[in-house]
Amino acid sequence: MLLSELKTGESAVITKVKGYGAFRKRLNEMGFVRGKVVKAVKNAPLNDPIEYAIMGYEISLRRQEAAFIEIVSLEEATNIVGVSGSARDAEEAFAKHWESRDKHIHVAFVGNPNAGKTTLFNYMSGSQEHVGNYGGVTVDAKSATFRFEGYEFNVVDLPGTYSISAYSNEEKYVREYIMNNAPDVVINVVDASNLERNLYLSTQLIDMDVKGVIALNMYDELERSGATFNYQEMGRMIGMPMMPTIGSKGKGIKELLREVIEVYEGRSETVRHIHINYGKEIEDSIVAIRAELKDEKDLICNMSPRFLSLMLLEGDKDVLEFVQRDHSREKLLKVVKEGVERIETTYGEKVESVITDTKYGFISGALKETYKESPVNRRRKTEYIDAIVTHKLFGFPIFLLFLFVTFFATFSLGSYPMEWIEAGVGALGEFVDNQMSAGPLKDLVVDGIIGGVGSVIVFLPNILILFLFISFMEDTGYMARAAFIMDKLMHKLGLHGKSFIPMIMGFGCNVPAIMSTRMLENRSDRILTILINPFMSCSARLPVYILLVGAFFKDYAALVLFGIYLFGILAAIVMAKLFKRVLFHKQEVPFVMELPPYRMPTLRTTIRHMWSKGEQYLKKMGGIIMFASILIWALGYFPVDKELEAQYDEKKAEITRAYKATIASGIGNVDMLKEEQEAKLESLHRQEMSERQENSYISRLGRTLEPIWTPLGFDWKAGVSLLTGVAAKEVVVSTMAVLYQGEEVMEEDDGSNAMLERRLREHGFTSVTAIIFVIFVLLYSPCFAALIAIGKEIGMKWAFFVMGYTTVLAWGVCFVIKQVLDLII
Amino acid sequence: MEMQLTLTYIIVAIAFVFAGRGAYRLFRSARKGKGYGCNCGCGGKGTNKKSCL
Repeated sequence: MLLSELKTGESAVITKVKGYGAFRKRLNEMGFVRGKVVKAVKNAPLNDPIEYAIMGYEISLRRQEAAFIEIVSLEEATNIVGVSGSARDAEEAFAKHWESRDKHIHVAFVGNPNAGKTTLFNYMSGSQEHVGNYGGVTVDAKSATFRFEGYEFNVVDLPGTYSISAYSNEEKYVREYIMNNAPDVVINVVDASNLERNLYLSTQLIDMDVKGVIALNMYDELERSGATFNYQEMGRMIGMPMMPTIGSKGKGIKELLREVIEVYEGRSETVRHIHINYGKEIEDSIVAIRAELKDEKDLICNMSPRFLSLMLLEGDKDVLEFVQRDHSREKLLKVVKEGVERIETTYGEKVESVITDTKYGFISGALKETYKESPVNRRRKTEYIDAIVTHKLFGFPIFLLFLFVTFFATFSLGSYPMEWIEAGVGALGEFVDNQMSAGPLKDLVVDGIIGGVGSVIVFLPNILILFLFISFMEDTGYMARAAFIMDKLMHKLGLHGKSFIPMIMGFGCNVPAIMSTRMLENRSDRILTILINPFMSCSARLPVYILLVGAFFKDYAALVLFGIYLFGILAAIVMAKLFKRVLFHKQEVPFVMELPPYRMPTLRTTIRHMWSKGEQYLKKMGGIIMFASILIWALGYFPVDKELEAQYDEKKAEITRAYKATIASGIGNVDMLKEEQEAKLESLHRQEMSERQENSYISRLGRTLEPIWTPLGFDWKAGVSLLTGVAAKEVVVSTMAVLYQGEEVMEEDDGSNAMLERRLREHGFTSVTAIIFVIFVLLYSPCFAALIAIGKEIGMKWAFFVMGYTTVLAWGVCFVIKQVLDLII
Repeated sequence: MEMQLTLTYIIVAIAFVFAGRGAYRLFRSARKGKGYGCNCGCGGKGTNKKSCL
């Protein structure tokens, strides 16, 4: 709870005072220290400021300033320590208790993209957030809590940024997070193999006057390169302790956290606040601005005055807006303007450039004394690989080969475990079938649940294999190269090379792919990338492809599968070109993207990545797929037609009577007769189900919409399957499995997908219908989750637009293809 | 038979409630920035986490 939330007349005990430098010191001096009892006396007429009573005197604070003080209510404090009585008793008991209890440390991870923040975060917290060897994987703050050596850590993983100058949304977000949430300690994760550029952000943290620890991540790469780095000395020089870590192996993380505790408790000998010397002109201007800021408590309560001064000199738009939010502050801005003019006249350059140069000069000077580069070229391996995979002639074929191998392996290798799971599902269906007596519940369990869920679960191995390849692409660093070689082509389409990364990610799931478009600085690029992303076939569509391609194009299935994905890319390209021409003006954004060194992913990371996807897939089975299967089955089973039921009951009774009489007469083999009777009854049951389905609710719905599907060659069952696929694409297969129940009993009818293939043929599915169905699934509306993601990222009108245009496009393309194929075949 | 029908109705009703709840949560959680309920891993709840330390 924050002091600003304390109601008038209530008392509370202070647990933490946040804020910066002089402001925080001032609060402490006024008595706002941990363990003290504070009472909200009254609010000013306009609800701000608030008068508080502390240590026997009254003091007024603005609501915004009071928000920097964390409290627990007096009641809560009394309950915690078990002392009742006067406020002073509670205060003393609470102070004692506070010293002995677990302490909470709020830690924020900041650092350059691809420095390994999320890897460290995952290791510490046991989270499984997505990581990859390219910048921009983390697009949102993730938080987690864990305990270590008596402390409770609340860690927040922030998106990677090269600086905190509010150039991009991520930078703005990180800066605001640090300012508004005032984490106790900031862990600045630095790629140890790329110190100079990574430490630039550290210099900004120094200016911000935050308590920080630098994690020298991937330190093994620095050691392997033969370079030496005296990090203790460097830490002393910049006033921020440095700890080497290897995030992927979990090395150095305990030491890093111990250092965080030392810094939090104020015991670290390395920590000191230093000022980077920006030269006389800038320093004089800072002094002048700080003098103006001295009494502006609401400006400097959550931002160091020195950092604020520098931002004002750099002309940071957001900071200028922040300064002028209440009133114009003309005097302050005049001082800033004078300073800027003086600096620019002296240096003949923009202030921003002078400050950046000075920061790099500072880093370079510090590194000169502490870092010795290896005589051997440390990026040799990366350069050799790059010479091949980004080659102007081989680059594209290698990329296409990689994609082909991915889909070939997904189909071919996946088919073996798929058969085993299929056999297992079939056996389970048979077992339940034999154990339960005939009736609607048995039909629900066997045809609805086992048939529906079982038809989708068999694709788990294929999904895992696909993610193995995507994971390999992301973790090795090849993803960034794919974007690099595609930049020219993407540029011709009016897209940014970086747009290719969300597109490739779309092969896994469209939702994170849509979220990852945040890495694109230009809004038009973002919208355009999101609009075409649904054409990148997500893993949820894979079961539909494998089912139909495996059934109708068995001999060249991998090639057809590859072709489907390429067709999706082609559709994306064509639509991007069209949208760029019609909807968006041409806006050029330079291709600035880091090409990280190649890294061999660890087995642990790869398995974890794969398993996390498998786990999510299985969760879907127990959730949406199962519920959808039950509902589809119910809609296909009801309403109960009493007359029809009576007719079939009569027929069944007739068969039973006839066989009973034959058996009683002693003619023929009894066992054979019984088997025959069972088969006939089963066949009758199937006919009944089929007839019942034809009069069911779902059939009525499907037939109403039949005019939409008939021109494409689909019956109402295929149409309904496509419709339900908007909930989640896997539901297309489970719906088909539930709806396509045959009228005749087939040998070895185990409800498996092999059976579903035969049922589809029985219902008139041909290779033409199959390919059109697959193309429709590829192109039509993304699932609800993806639509909501689109709505959240760029607005609901775009989500509806995507839903509409993709479906219309799918119908149009499929109609044309059908006409052409009907002419040819 | 009647028993089976009753149980079937109950199961279908439960599925309907859960499907509805899932859809509601999808919209609500997306609005609150807690992921899109698509099982892609976005907006994880933070349960079952076990620190490697």
